[in-house]
Amino acid sequence: MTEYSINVGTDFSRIPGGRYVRHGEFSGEAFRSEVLAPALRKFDHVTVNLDGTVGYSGSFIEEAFGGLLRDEGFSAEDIDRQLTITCSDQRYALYVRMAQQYIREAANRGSARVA
Amino acid sequence: MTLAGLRTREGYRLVEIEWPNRKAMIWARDRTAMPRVFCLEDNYEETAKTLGAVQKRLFDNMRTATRSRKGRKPRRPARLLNGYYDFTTMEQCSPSAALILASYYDVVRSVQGWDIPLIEVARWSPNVRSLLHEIGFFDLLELKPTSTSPLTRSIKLVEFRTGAVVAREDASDLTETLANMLVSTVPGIDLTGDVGRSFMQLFGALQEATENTCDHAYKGMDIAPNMKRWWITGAIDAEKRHMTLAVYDNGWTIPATLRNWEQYGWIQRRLARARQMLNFRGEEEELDGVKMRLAMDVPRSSTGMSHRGKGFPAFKFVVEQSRSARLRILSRRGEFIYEKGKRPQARALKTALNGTLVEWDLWL
Repeated sequence: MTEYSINVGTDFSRIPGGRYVRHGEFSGEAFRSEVLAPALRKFDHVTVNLDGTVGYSGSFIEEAFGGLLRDEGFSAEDIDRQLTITCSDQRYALYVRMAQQYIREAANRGSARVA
Repeated sequence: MTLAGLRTREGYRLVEIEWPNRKAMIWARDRTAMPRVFCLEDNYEETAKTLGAVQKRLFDNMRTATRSRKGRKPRRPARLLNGYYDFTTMEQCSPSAALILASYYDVVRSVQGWDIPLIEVARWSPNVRSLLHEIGFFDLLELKPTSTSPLTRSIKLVEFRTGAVVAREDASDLTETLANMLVSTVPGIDLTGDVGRSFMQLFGALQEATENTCDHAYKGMDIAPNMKRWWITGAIDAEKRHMTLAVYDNGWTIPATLRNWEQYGWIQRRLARARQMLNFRGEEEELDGVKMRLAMDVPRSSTGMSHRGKGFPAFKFVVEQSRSARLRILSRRGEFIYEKGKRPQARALKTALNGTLVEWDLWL
Protein backbone atom coordinates (compact mmCIF):
# COMPACT_ATOMS: atom_id res chain seq x y z
CA MET A 1 0.00 0.00 0.00
CA THR A 2 1.40 3.43 -0.93
CA GLU A 3 1.21 6.22 1.64
CA TYR A 4 1.58 9.99 1.24
CA SER A 5 1.54 12.83 3.76
CA ILE A 6 0.70 16.46 3.18
CA ASN A 7 1.32 19.19 5.73
CA VAL A 8 -0.75 22.18 4.63
CA GLY A 9 1.50 24.71 6.42
CA THR A 10 4.75 23.52 4.86
CA ASP A 11 3.66 21.84 1.61
CA PHE A 12 1.03 24.35 0.48
CA SER A 13 0.93 27.67 2.34
CA ARG A 14 1.29 29.02 5.85
CA ILE A 15 -1.47 31.45 4.88
CA PRO A 16 -4.14 29.54 2.97
CA GLY A 17 -7.26 31.44 2.02
CA GLY A 18 -10.31 31.90 -0.13
CA ARG A 19 -12.67 29.32 -1.57
CA TYR A 20 -12.02 29.62 -5.29
CA VAL A 21 -8.94 30.35 -7.37
CA ARG A 22 -10.54 33.66 -8.37
CA HIS A 23 -10.33 34.71 -4.72
CA GLY A 24 -6.54 34.75 -4.86
CA GLU A 25 -3.55 32.47 -4.39
CA PHE A 26 -3.60 29.40 -2.14
CA SER A 27 -7.37 28.90 -2.20
CA GLY A 28 -9.27 25.79 -1.13
CA GLU A 29 -9.94 25.02 -4.79
CA ALA A 30 -6.20 25.24 -5.59
CA PHE A 31 -5.29 22.98 -2.68
CA ARG A 32 -7.92 20.43 -3.69
CA SER A 33 -7.25 20.37 -7.42
CA GLU A 34 -3.46 20.80 -7.43
CA VAL A 35 -2.39 18.98 -4.28
CA LEU A 36 -4.99 16.81 -2.59
CA ALA A 37 -6.94 15.24 -5.46
CA PRO A 38 -3.80 14.30 -7.48
CA ALA A 39 -2.32 12.74 -4.32
CA LEU A 40 -5.49 10.71 -3.72
CA ARG A 41 -5.40 9.49 -7.32
CA LYS A 42 -1.74 8.52 -7.11
CA PHE A 43 -1.48 6.97 -3.64
CA ASP A 44 -3.53 4.40 -1.79
CA HIS A 45 -3.72 6.50 1.35
CA VAL A 46 -3.14 10.19 2.06
CA THR A 47 -2.77 11.89 5.44
CA VAL A 48 -3.41 15.64 5.57
CA ASN A 49 -1.98 17.43 8.58
CA LEU A 50 -3.55 20.84 9.13
CA ASP A 51 -0.82 22.22 11.44
CA GLY A 52 1.41 25.17 10.71
CA THR A 53 -0.97 27.70 9.18
CA VAL A 54 -2.15 31.05 10.50
CA GLY A 55 -5.66 29.57 10.54
CA TYR A 56 -8.36 28.60 8.07
CA SER A 57 -11.59 30.00 6.76
CA GLY A 58 -14.58 27.69 6.67
CA SER A 59 -14.91 28.23 2.92
CA PHE A 60 -11.31 27.08 2.32
CA ILE A 61 -11.89 23.89 4.32
CA GLU A 62 -15.24 23.22 2.68
CA GLU A 63 -13.93 23.65 -0.83
CA ALA A 64 -10.78 21.64 -0.17
CA PHE A 65 -12.50 18.64 1.41
CA GLY A 66 -16.22 18.84 0.54
CA GLY A 67 -15.18 19.57 -3.04
CA LEU A 68 -13.48 16.17 -3.33
CA LEU A 69 -16.91 14.57 -3.55
CA ARG A 70 -18.64 17.38 -5.40
CA ASP A 71 -16.05 18.27 -8.03
CA GLU A 72 -13.39 15.55 -8.14
CA GLY A 73 -15.60 12.47 -8.41
CA PHE A 74 -14.53 10.72 -5.20
CA SER A 75 -17.17 8.79 -3.31
CA ALA A 76 -17.71 8.92 0.43
CA GLU A 77 -16.30 5.38 0.62
CA ASP A 78 -13.14 6.42 -1.30
CA ILE A 79 -12.58 9.29 1.08
CA ASP A 80 -13.28 7.18 4.12
CA ARG A 81 -10.79 4.55 3.00
CA GLN A 82 -8.10 6.79 1.52
CA LEU A 83 -8.00 10.02 3.50
CA THR A 84 -7.02 10.83 7.08
CA ILE A 85 -7.20 14.42 8.31
CA THR A 86 -5.19 15.13 11.39
CA CYS A 87 -3.28 17.66 13.49
CA SER A 88 -0.62 17.51 16.17
CA ASP A 89 -1.32 20.96 17.58
CA GLN A 90 -4.69 20.90 19.38
CA ARG A 91 -5.50 24.44 18.21
CA TYR A 92 -6.20 22.85 14.80
CA ALA A 93 -8.49 20.11 16.12
CA LEU A 94 -11.46 22.34 15.39
CA TYR A 95 -10.53 22.48 11.70
CA VAL A 96 -10.10 18.71 11.55
CA ARG A 97 -13.67 18.31 12.85
CA MET A 98 -14.85 20.98 10.41
CA ALA A 99 -13.27 19.16 7.44
CA GLN A 100 -14.84 15.86 8.50
CA GLN A 101 -18.22 17.53 8.85
CA TYR A 102 -17.99 19.11 5.37
CA ILE A 103 -17.13 15.72 3.88
CA ARG A 104 -20.20 14.20 5.57
CA GLU A 105 -22.40 17.04 4.34
CA ALA A 106 -21.12 16.73 0.79
CA ALA A 107 -21.74 12.98 0.92
CA ASN A 108 -25.31 13.57 2.14
CA ARG A 109 -25.97 16.01 -0.66
CA GLY A 110 -24.83 13.52 -3.25
CA SER A 111 -22.61 14.47 -6.09
CA ALA A 112 -24.83 17.20 -7.59
CA ARG A 113 -22.45 19.64 -9.21
CA VAL A 114 -23.01 23.30 -8.65
CA ALA A 115 -22.78 25.61 -11.64
CA MET B 1 -0.68 83.15 17.04
CA THR B 2 -1.97 82.49 13.51
CA LEU B 3 -4.44 84.65 11.68
CA ALA B 4 -6.88 81.75 11.60
CA GLY B 5 -10.26 82.72 12.91
CA LEU B 6 -9.35 86.37 13.50
CA ARG B 7 -10.47 87.92 10.23
CA THR B 8 -13.57 87.38 8.17
CA ARG B 9 -14.40 88.48 4.63
CA GLU B 10 -17.90 88.06 3.20
CA GLY B 11 -18.55 85.04 5.36
CA TYR B 12 -15.10 83.61 4.77
CA ARG B 13 -12.71 82.68 7.52
CA LEU B 14 -8.94 82.36 7.25
CA VAL B 15 -7.81 78.78 7.86
CA GLU B 16 -4.60 76.83 7.53
CA ILE B 17 -4.72 74.27 4.74
CA GLU B 18 -2.22 71.47 4.29
CA TRP B 19 -1.24 69.48 1.19
CA PRO B 20 1.73 67.12 0.82
CA ASN B 21 4.86 69.23 1.34
CA ARG B 22 3.09 72.58 1.58
CA LYS B 23 0.87 74.63 3.84
CA ALA B 24 -1.00 77.86 3.19
CA MET B 25 -3.56 80.19 4.71
CA ILE B 26 -6.75 80.28 2.71
CA TRP B 27 -10.18 81.91 2.96
CA ALA B 28 -12.85 79.30 3.61
CA ARG B 29 -16.59 79.25 4.21
CA ASP B 30 -19.47 76.79 4.69
CA ARG B 31 -17.79 74.96 7.52
CA THR B 32 -19.49 71.76 8.67
CA ALA B 33 -18.50 70.64 12.13
CA MET B 34 -17.63 66.97 12.57
CA PRO B 35 -19.44 65.29 15.48
CA ARG B 36 -17.81 65.69 18.89
CA VAL B 37 -18.14 61.92 19.35
CA PHE B 38 -17.39 60.34 15.97
CA CYS B 39 -18.45 56.83 16.76
CA LEU B 40 -21.00 54.40 15.30
CA GLU B 41 -21.68 52.93 18.72
CA ASP B 42 -22.05 55.90 21.07
CA ASN B 43 -23.33 58.41 18.52
CA TYR B 44 -24.63 56.39 15.62
CA GLU B 45 -27.10 58.75 13.94
CA GLU B 46 -24.87 61.82 13.81
CA THR B 47 -21.81 59.80 12.80
CA ALA B 48 -23.64 57.89 10.04
CA LYS B 49 -25.13 61.15 8.69
CA THR B 50 -21.72 62.79 8.66
CA LEU B 51 -20.06 59.83 6.96
CA GLY B 52 -22.78 59.85 4.31
CA ALA B 53 -22.32 63.58 3.73
CA VAL B 54 -18.51 63.35 3.59
CA GLN B 55 -18.74 60.48 1.11
CA LYS B 56 -21.25 62.35 -1.04
CA ARG B 57 -19.13 65.48 -1.19
CA LEU B 58 -15.91 63.59 -1.97
CA PHE B 59 -17.49 61.28 -4.56
CA ASP B 60 -19.56 64.05 -6.19
CA ASN B 61 -16.40 66.14 -6.61
CA MET B 62 -14.69 63.13 -8.09
CA ARG B 63 -17.52 62.52 -10.60
CA THR B 64 -17.74 66.19 -11.57
CA ALA B 65 -13.99 66.41 -12.03
CA THR B 66 -13.92 63.22 -14.12
CA ARG B 67 -16.62 64.57 -16.43
CA SER B 68 -15.45 68.14 -16.80
CA ARG B 69 -11.68 67.92 -16.69
CA LYS B 70 -10.95 64.80 -18.73
CA GLY B 71 -7.80 65.39 -20.77
CA ARG B 72 -7.19 68.83 -19.32
CA LYS B 73 -4.38 70.06 -17.11
CA PRO B 74 -4.70 69.41 -13.36
CA ARG B 75 -6.64 72.14 -11.62
CA ARG B 76 -4.68 74.76 -9.68
CA PRO B 77 -5.29 74.83 -5.94
CA ALA B 78 -8.28 77.07 -5.24
CA ARG B 79 -7.77 80.43 -3.56
CA LEU B 80 -11.09 80.20 -1.78
CA LEU B 81 -12.51 77.09 -0.16
CA ASN B 82 -16.26 76.72 -0.45
CA GLY B 83 -17.32 74.07 1.98
CA TYR B 84 -15.18 71.94 4.26
CA TYR B 85 -15.44 69.56 7.21
CA ASP B 86 -14.04 70.93 10.42
CA PHE B 87 -12.21 68.13 12.25
CA THR B 88 -11.27 70.40 15.16
CA THR B 89 -14.66 69.69 16.75
CA MET B 90 -13.96 65.95 17.07
CA GLU B 91 -13.00 64.91 20.58
CA GLN B 92 -13.41 61.16 20.21
CA CYS B 93 -13.12 58.90 17.21
CA SER B 94 -13.74 55.16 17.12
CA PRO B 95 -11.60 52.79 15.03
CA SER B 96 -14.54 51.78 12.81
CA ALA B 97 -15.65 55.35 12.08
CA ALA B 98 -12.02 56.23 11.33
CA LEU B 99 -11.76 53.23 9.00
CA ILE B 100 -14.84 54.25 7.01
CA LEU B 101 -13.70 57.87 6.79
CA ALA B 102 -10.25 56.75 5.61
CA SER B 103 -11.83 54.45 3.02
CA TYR B 104 -13.62 57.38 1.35
CA TYR B 105 -10.45 59.44 1.13
CA ASP B 106 -8.59 56.36 -0.07
CA VAL B 107 -11.06 55.85 -2.92
CA VAL B 108 -10.75 59.43 -4.14
CA ARG B 109 -7.00 59.40 -3.79
CA SER B 110 -6.58 56.10 -5.65
CA VAL B 111 -9.12 56.78 -8.40
CA GLN B 112 -8.21 60.43 -9.06
CA GLY B 113 -4.69 60.65 -7.67
CA TRP B 114 -5.68 63.97 -6.10
CA ASP B 115 -3.86 65.67 -3.28
CA ILE B 116 -6.68 66.09 -0.79
CA PRO B 117 -5.86 68.84 1.69
CA LEU B 118 -6.64 68.81 5.39
CA ILE B 119 -7.75 71.92 7.23
CA GLU B 120 -6.34 73.23 10.52
CA VAL B 121 -4.65 69.98 11.48
CA ALA B 122 -2.68 71.69 14.24
CA ARG B 123 -5.96 72.52 16.01
CA TRP B 124 -7.34 68.96 15.95
CA SER B 125 -7.57 67.05 19.20
CA PRO B 126 -4.17 65.34 19.68
CA ASN B 127 -5.93 62.05 20.43
CA VAL B 128 -8.01 62.19 17.24
CA ARG B 129 -5.01 63.29 15.19
CA SER B 130 -2.81 60.46 16.44
CA LEU B 131 -5.60 57.92 16.05
CA LEU B 132 -6.14 58.95 12.44
CA HIS B 133 -2.38 58.85 11.96
CA GLU B 134 -2.21 55.28 13.31
CA ILE B 135 -4.98 54.07 11.03
CA GLY B 136 -3.08 55.43 8.03
CA PHE B 137 -5.23 58.46 7.22
CA PHE B 138 -2.28 60.86 6.99
CA ASP B 139 -0.13 58.39 5.08
CA LEU B 140 -2.75 57.88 2.40
CA LEU B 141 -2.87 61.67 1.92
CA GLU B 142 0.95 61.85 2.10
CA LEU B 143 0.76 64.22 5.04
CA LYS B 144 2.68 64.21 8.30
CA PRO B 145 0.77 64.95 11.48
CA THR B 146 2.21 67.30 14.07
CA SER B 147 1.77 66.18 17.65
CA THR B 148 2.82 68.17 20.64
CA SER B 149 0.54 67.11 23.47
CA PRO B 150 0.67 63.85 25.42
CA LEU B 151 -2.09 61.41 24.49
CA THR B 152 -4.85 60.46 26.90
CA ARG B 153 -6.24 57.45 25.09
CA SER B 154 -5.39 53.82 25.71
CA ILE B 155 -6.50 52.55 22.28
CA LYS B 156 -3.82 51.53 19.77
CA LEU B 157 -4.81 51.02 16.15
CA VAL B 158 -3.36 49.02 13.31
CA GLU B 159 -2.93 50.76 9.96
CA PHE B 160 -5.77 49.88 7.62
CA ARG B 161 -5.34 47.43 4.79
CA THR B 162 -7.39 47.31 1.63
CA GLY B 163 -7.80 44.93 -1.27
CA ALA B 164 -10.02 43.49 -3.96
CA VAL B 165 -9.36 39.77 -3.55
CA VAL B 166 -9.78 37.71 -0.37
CA ALA B 167 -7.65 39.08 2.46
CA ARG B 168 -5.06 36.40 2.99
CA GLU B 169 -1.73 38.04 3.75
CA ASP B 170 -3.48 41.19 4.93
CA ALA B 171 -5.65 39.22 7.35
CA SER B 172 -2.58 37.35 8.55
CA ASP B 173 -0.57 40.58 8.99
CA LEU B 174 -3.43 42.27 10.80
CA THR B 175 -4.04 39.43 13.25
CA GLU B 176 -0.31 38.93 13.86
CA THR B 177 0.24 42.65 14.44
CA LEU B 178 -2.66 42.72 16.89
CA ALA B 179 -1.33 39.63 18.67
CA ASN B 180 2.10 41.26 19.06
CA MET B 181 0.53 44.51 20.30
CA LEU B 182 -1.52 42.53 22.77
CA VAL B 183 1.49 40.68 24.17
CA SER B 184 3.46 43.92 24.54
CA THR B 185 0.65 45.97 26.14
CA VAL B 186 -1.56 43.58 28.12
CA PRO B 187 0.14 41.71 30.97
CA GLY B 188 -0.38 37.96 31.27
CA ILE B 189 -1.63 37.30 27.74
CA ASP B 190 -0.91 33.75 26.59
CA LEU B 191 -1.22 33.19 22.86
CA THR B 192 -0.92 29.42 23.11
CA GLY B 193 -4.38 29.05 24.66
CA ASP B 194 -7.84 30.47 24.00
CA VAL B 195 -6.58 33.88 22.89
CA GLY B 196 -4.34 32.31 20.25
CA ARG B 197 -7.29 30.25 19.04
CA SER B 198 -9.39 33.42 18.80
CA PHE B 199 -6.77 34.97 16.52
CA MET B 200 -6.89 31.92 14.24
CA GLN B 201 -10.67 32.20 14.06
CA LEU B 202 -10.53 35.94 13.45
CA PHE B 203 -8.14 35.27 10.57
CA GLY B 204 -10.77 32.91 9.12
CA ALA B 205 -13.61 35.35 9.75
CA LEU B 206 -11.73 38.20 8.05
CA GLN B 207 -11.30 35.96 5.03
CA GLU B 208 -14.99 35.06 4.98
CA ALA B 209 -15.97 38.73 5.26
CA THR B 210 -13.66 39.81 2.45
CA GLU B 211 -14.73 36.83 0.32
CA ASN B 212 -18.27 38.06 0.79
CA THR B 213 -17.20 41.48 -0.46
CA CYS B 214 -15.53 39.96 -3.52
CA ASP B 215 -18.54 37.82 -4.42
CA HIS B 216 -21.52 39.97 -3.52
CA ALA B 217 -20.86 43.51 -2.33
CA TYR B 218 -20.24 45.26 -5.65
CA LYS B 219 -21.86 42.85 -8.10
CA GLY B 220 -23.18 44.83 -11.06
CA MET B 221 -22.22 48.18 -9.53
CA ASP B 222 -21.18 50.70 -12.17
CA ILE B 223 -18.10 52.13 -10.48
CA ALA B 224 -14.36 52.15 -11.16
CA PRO B 225 -12.82 48.68 -10.56
CA ASN B 226 -10.45 49.96 -7.88
CA MET B 227 -13.39 51.28 -5.87
CA LYS B 228 -14.63 47.70 -5.42
CA ARG B 229 -12.59 46.97 -2.35
CA TRP B 230 -12.72 46.11 1.34
CA TRP B 231 -10.93 47.91 4.16
CA ILE B 232 -9.88 46.26 7.43
CA THR B 233 -8.34 47.42 10.67
CA GLY B 234 -7.98 46.39 14.28
CA ALA B 235 -7.48 48.08 17.64
CA ILE B 236 -6.50 47.18 21.16
CA ASP B 237 -7.48 48.92 24.36
CA ALA B 238 -4.92 47.64 26.85
CA GLU B 239 -6.66 49.20 29.86
CA LYS B 240 -9.96 47.52 29.12
CA ARG B 241 -8.33 44.33 27.76
CA HIS B 242 -10.50 44.83 24.71
CA MET B 243 -9.81 44.15 21.04
CA THR B 244 -11.79 45.22 17.96
CA LEU B 245 -11.53 44.08 14.36
CA ALA B 246 -13.49 45.81 11.63
CA VAL B 247 -14.17 45.14 7.96
CA TYR B 248 -15.89 47.71 5.76
CA ASP B 249 -17.08 47.70 2.18
CA ASN B 250 -18.91 50.43 0.33
CA GLY B 251 -21.10 48.10 -1.73
CA TRP B 252 -24.80 47.36 -2.13
CA THR B 253 -25.22 46.24 1.53
CA ILE B 254 -26.46 42.93 2.91
CA PRO B 255 -30.21 43.70 2.92
CA ALA B 256 -30.00 44.93 -0.67
CA THR B 257 -28.22 41.82 -1.99
CA LEU B 258 -30.13 39.13 -0.10
CA ARG B 259 -32.63 38.66 -2.90
CA ASN B 260 -29.82 37.43 -5.17
CA TRP B 261 -28.78 34.82 -2.65
CA GLU B 262 -29.62 31.14 -3.14
CA GLN B 263 -31.00 30.96 0.38
CA TYR B 264 -33.31 33.95 -0.08
CA GLY B 265 -36.39 31.74 -0.34
CA TRP B 266 -35.90 30.63 3.26
CA ILE B 267 -35.58 34.26 4.37
CA GLN B 268 -38.52 35.39 2.28
CA ARG B 269 -40.89 32.85 3.81
CA ARG B 270 -39.99 33.92 7.34
CA LEU B 271 -40.09 37.58 6.41
CA ALA B 272 -43.60 37.19 5.05
CA ARG B 273 -44.64 35.55 8.30
CA ALA B 274 -43.02 38.36 10.33
CA ARG B 275 -44.76 41.02 8.22
CA GLN B 276 -48.09 39.34 8.82
CA MET B 277 -47.53 38.95 12.56
CA LEU B 278 -46.44 42.57 12.97
CA ASN B 279 -49.05 43.83 10.51
CA PHE B 280 -46.11 45.69 8.99
CA ARG B 281 -46.93 48.65 6.72
CA GLY B 282 -43.67 50.59 6.92
CA GLU B 283 -40.82 51.18 4.48
CA GLU B 284 -38.93 48.15 3.20
CA GLU B 285 -35.68 49.43 4.74
CA GLU B 286 -37.23 49.28 8.19
CA LEU B 287 -36.97 45.52 7.86
CA ASP B 288 -33.22 45.60 7.22
CA GLY B 289 -32.39 44.48 10.76
CA VAL B 290 -34.88 41.60 10.59
CA LYS B 291 -33.54 40.55 7.20
CA MET B 292 -30.01 40.50 8.53
CA ARG B 293 -31.01 38.45 11.53
CA LEU B 294 -32.79 35.95 9.28
CA ALA B 295 -29.76 35.78 7.00
CA MET B 296 -27.61 34.95 10.03
CA ASP B 297 -30.00 32.16 10.99
CA VAL B 298 -30.22 30.41 7.61
CA PRO B 299 -29.51 26.74 8.32
CA ARG B 300 -26.58 25.42 6.32
CA SER B 301 -28.65 22.50 5.09
CA SER B 302 -31.58 24.58 3.86
CA THR B 303 -30.69 24.13 0.19
CA GLY B 304 -28.75 21.75 -1.93
CA MET B 305 -26.09 24.39 -2.38
CA SER B 306 -25.43 25.13 1.24
CA HIS B 307 -21.68 24.81 0.73
CA ARG B 308 -21.79 28.26 -0.80
CA GLY B 309 -23.00 30.80 1.67
CA LYS B 310 -22.25 34.32 2.74
CA GLY B 311 -19.81 33.26 5.43
CA PHE B 312 -22.21 34.33 8.17
CA PRO B 313 -21.70 31.21 10.31
CA ALA B 314 -17.98 32.04 10.43
CA PHE B 315 -18.81 35.56 11.65
CA LYS B 316 -20.75 34.07 14.58
CA PHE B 317 -18.26 31.27 15.11
CA VAL B 318 -15.64 33.67 16.51
CA VAL B 319 -18.12 34.80 19.16
CA GLU B 320 -19.24 31.29 20.02
CA GLN B 321 -15.67 30.09 20.49
CA SER B 322 -14.46 33.06 22.57
CA ARG B 323 -14.78 33.63 26.31
CA SER B 324 -16.41 37.03 25.91
CA ALA B 325 -17.12 38.46 22.48
CA ARG B 326 -19.59 40.32 20.33
CA LEU B 327 -20.34 40.56 16.61
CA ARG B 328 -21.99 43.73 15.32
CA ILE B 329 -23.00 44.26 11.71
CA LEU B 330 -24.26 47.54 10.30
CA SER B 331 -25.57 47.45 6.77
CA ARG B 332 -27.87 50.05 5.20
CA ARG B 333 -30.47 50.59 7.94
CA GLY B 334 -30.01 47.27 9.65
CA GLU B 335 -28.09 46.49 12.81
CA PHE B 336 -27.42 42.96 13.98
CA ILE B 337 -25.73 42.15 17.28
CA TYR B 338 -24.68 38.69 18.35
CA GLU B 339 -23.16 38.53 21.80
CA LYS B 340 -21.95 35.59 23.77
CA GLY B 341 -24.60 34.43 26.24
CA LYS B 342 -27.31 36.79 24.93
CA ARG B 343 -30.17 36.62 22.46
CA PRO B 344 -29.27 38.00 19.02
CA GLN B 345 -30.57 41.52 18.49
CA ALA B 346 -31.70 43.17 15.27
CA ARG B 347 -33.10 46.62 14.73
CA ALA B 348 -33.74 49.24 12.09
CA LEU B 349 -31.74 52.44 12.32
CA LYS B 350 -33.03 55.85 11.28
CA THR B 351 -30.02 56.74 9.19
CA ALA B 352 -28.59 54.32 6.66
CA LEU B 353 -24.91 53.52 6.62
CA ASN B 354 -23.57 53.34 3.09
CA GLY B 355 -22.08 49.88 2.72
CA THR B 356 -21.48 47.21 5.34
CA LEU B 357 -19.43 47.28 8.51
CA VAL B 358 -18.65 44.05 10.34
CA GLU B 359 -17.08 44.40 13.79
CA TRP B 360 -15.85 41.82 16.25
CA ASP B 361 -15.19 42.87 19.85
CA LEU B 362 -13.32 40.54 22.15
CA TRP B 363 -12.77 41.05 25.86
CA LEU B 364 -9.67 39.16 26.96
